[in-house]
Amino acid sequence: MRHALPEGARRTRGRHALIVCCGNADRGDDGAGPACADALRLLGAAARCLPGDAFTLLDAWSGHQKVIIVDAIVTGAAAPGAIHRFEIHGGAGAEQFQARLGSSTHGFGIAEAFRLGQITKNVPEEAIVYGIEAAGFEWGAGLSGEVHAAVQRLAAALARESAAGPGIGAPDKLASGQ
Amino acid sequence: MSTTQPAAQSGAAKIHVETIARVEGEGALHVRLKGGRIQDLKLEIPEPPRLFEAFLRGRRAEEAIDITARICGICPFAYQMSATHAIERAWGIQIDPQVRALRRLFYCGEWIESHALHIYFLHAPDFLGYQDVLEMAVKYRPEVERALRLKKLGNEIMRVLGGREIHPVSVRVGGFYHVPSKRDLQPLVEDLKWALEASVETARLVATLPFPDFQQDYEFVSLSHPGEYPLNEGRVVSSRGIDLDASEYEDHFLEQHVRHSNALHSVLRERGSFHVGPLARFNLNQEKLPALAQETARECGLEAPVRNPFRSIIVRAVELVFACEEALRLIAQYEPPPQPWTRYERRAGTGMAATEAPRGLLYHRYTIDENGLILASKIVPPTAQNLKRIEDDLWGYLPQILDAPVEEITWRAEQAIRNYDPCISCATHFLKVRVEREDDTR
Repeated sequence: MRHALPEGARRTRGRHALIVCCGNADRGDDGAGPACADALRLLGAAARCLPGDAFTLLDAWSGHQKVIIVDAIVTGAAAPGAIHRFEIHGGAGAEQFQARLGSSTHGFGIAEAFRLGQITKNVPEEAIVYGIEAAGFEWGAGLSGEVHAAVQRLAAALARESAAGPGIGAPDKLASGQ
Repeated sequence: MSTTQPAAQSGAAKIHVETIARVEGEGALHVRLKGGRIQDLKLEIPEPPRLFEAFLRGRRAEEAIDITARICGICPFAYQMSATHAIERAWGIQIDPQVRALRRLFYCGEWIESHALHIYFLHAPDFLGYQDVLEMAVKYRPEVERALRLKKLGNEIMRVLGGREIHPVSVRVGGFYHVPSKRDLQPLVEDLKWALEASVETARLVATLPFPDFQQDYEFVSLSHPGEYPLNEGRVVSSRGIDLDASEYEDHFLEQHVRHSNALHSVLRERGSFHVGPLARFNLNQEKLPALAQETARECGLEAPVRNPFRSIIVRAVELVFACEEALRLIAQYEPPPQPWTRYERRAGTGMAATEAPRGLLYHRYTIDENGLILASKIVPPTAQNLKRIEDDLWGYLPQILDAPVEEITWRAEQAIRNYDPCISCATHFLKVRVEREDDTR
């Protein structure tokens, strides 16, 4: 039987970086991830949006060697809208990411997903986490102006990278606040 | 905080659990001890109420389905079902039998996802002495991988039927916006067959855990249906003789405000606390479980009535077996309904319904005007019904362990609270548990 996807499309899994955007669109700046996914789609780049706990990350990245994760974070060490960039290779480096976090709004956070992925041998070889410094997480509030601007900058850069072809040559010039 | 001195020998003491981990939300447990006895015990819910019942007023009744789903990210379908059934009862809508079957299948997915999460990720670490599942996964990697796959399957059933795993978007008054074809459901079958075996293994595993010797004389409350293990239909029954339609629920069950909790406490009129959830369902409906689930329960030493709340982890595993068996049966018998939803006319009226969320009975009531707008509503989540019961359990259980170091008392108290898989997000907004202790002899 003919495969539903052309050969070329089937081969892309694992070569292109998977972009996963985490967060709750109804909770102020926690909506940075979903907003980034929306912006990426408008720019023609594929992105998955995960609204739930980070357990779903393990499913999402399964089979992918390269992953980019976008989420709102609070380090308390940078102004709202600052974009933090963390490189995680084979799960190593998640501790550094964890250490920079003040807290996670997800019951089971991204750092825990990497740790569990390491234990269960299900972790991408290369991952970059973009954490957008949040101003607030009030229910029903939209994005703050600073975070909205940061989302647009990050999405534009990721879309350019995506259009440039496979790889994870991420736009590290955007990162600030580290 | 003292780490070695037994609580009972230290004169006056306070135990304050600042944050109860591995529950959905935030709350605080405050225990005051004096002379080796409990002087006061409060499960504090300080977070503000979410006021869903208030902001439903004036909305179209159909909107309640998607609005109330937002109360919980773990069991949104339960909220959708109690809302839908209540509105359908208010408007006298009869649904197609295959729509009913699909709703039951949907519920199986939610139970699989929620029970797998609670058994392995939230509660098992308590019994095995691990701080969390990450610590546990080092030694129990195959079991944690099994849990992840079970949870993924539950989510997948939700996605296939609801469009997405969390806050599904297919449910509507009268049925569904879209129903799957037989072919859409077939990819779930092989995974469900695996999950059925994995669930039996789960039950065997948790049956070997060390259980505290603790029993309570509960009044168990759950739905009961004459021909099936309860999910989305049935009468409200109790182990002490209650047998009523959901429309009579508020004649017997009261919600009370207590100062230390922004989640209301439910009580049975003139009788006090009661117990909803897997233990109640099992004890009141054991004979309606399908064959393999019954066999698994027997193998694991479960026989109704089970009165040790710590053994609820085994009951959840038996309900996992049930959910997989039931899902396979429903898929095998499924024929798409001629219409995904039944046409209806809006009218003034009041409808009440209860369904069985993973954590227990979930009651909704809606009063609707002639234009189909909500005039009043009431939502009673399972955790709110169990809150007073949890406090009563702690009053009964903690005296058994007061000779232990504070850390162990704290650990055991949290473990006892998690017997109920409390979802404070549903009951209020967040749940924090706080344990604090001070010694006035110092």
